[in-house]
Amino acid sequence: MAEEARKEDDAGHKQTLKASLHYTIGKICSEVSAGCDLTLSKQVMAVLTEVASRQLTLYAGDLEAYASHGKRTVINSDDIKLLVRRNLYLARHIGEMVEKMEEGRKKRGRKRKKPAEGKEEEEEEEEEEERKEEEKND
Amino acid sequence: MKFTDKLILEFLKSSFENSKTKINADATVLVGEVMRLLITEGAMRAAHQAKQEGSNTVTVEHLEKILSQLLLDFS
Repeated sequence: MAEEARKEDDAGHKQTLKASLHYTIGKICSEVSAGCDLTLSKQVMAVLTEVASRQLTLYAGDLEAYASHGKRTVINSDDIKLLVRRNLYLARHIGEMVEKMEEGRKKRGRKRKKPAEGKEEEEEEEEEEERKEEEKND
Repeated sequence: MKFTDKLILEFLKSSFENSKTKINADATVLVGEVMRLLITEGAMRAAHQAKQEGSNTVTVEHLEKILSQLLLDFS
């Protein structure tokens, strides 16, 4: 009984998510139709929602399989690269995005590591100490 | 317009078979981008098809004609 209730709950949750998908898809479609002076029928948006939902479910399964093949439980950007490897342009676009993300992280990392200068000072101090020790030895 | 990260995350989570599977923030953004491209491309191709047939409204028949190639391109 409890399992049935959970299944029903799951179905309800999925329905809510689909509704959210439909909202965004509606917005994207109105952008496209404004761009090319055509009206998109409501059924087209409904079909696109169905397509998106199925495609996302497929992607979820694939990504899970890729991650578990890499002996991980967390899906990362490499798995997405693997997902789009067949489409050359898509792969290139995603690759560029990944590079940008990594660059952004490096920059942020550098900013956060301002105390790195402090580290250098420490090293300098250590060098000085070494020099003094050498002088003593002399 | 693009899908929110939260929506993508929730959808993927609900589709994972193993409850231990997680996804990091960058990967979620990338999946969102792929989905945005899928929908934009689908709408554009359907619109192109409608234009070629001299129609003012894009109907499911137009979408039907481009759907197979679209799904092949995104699989």
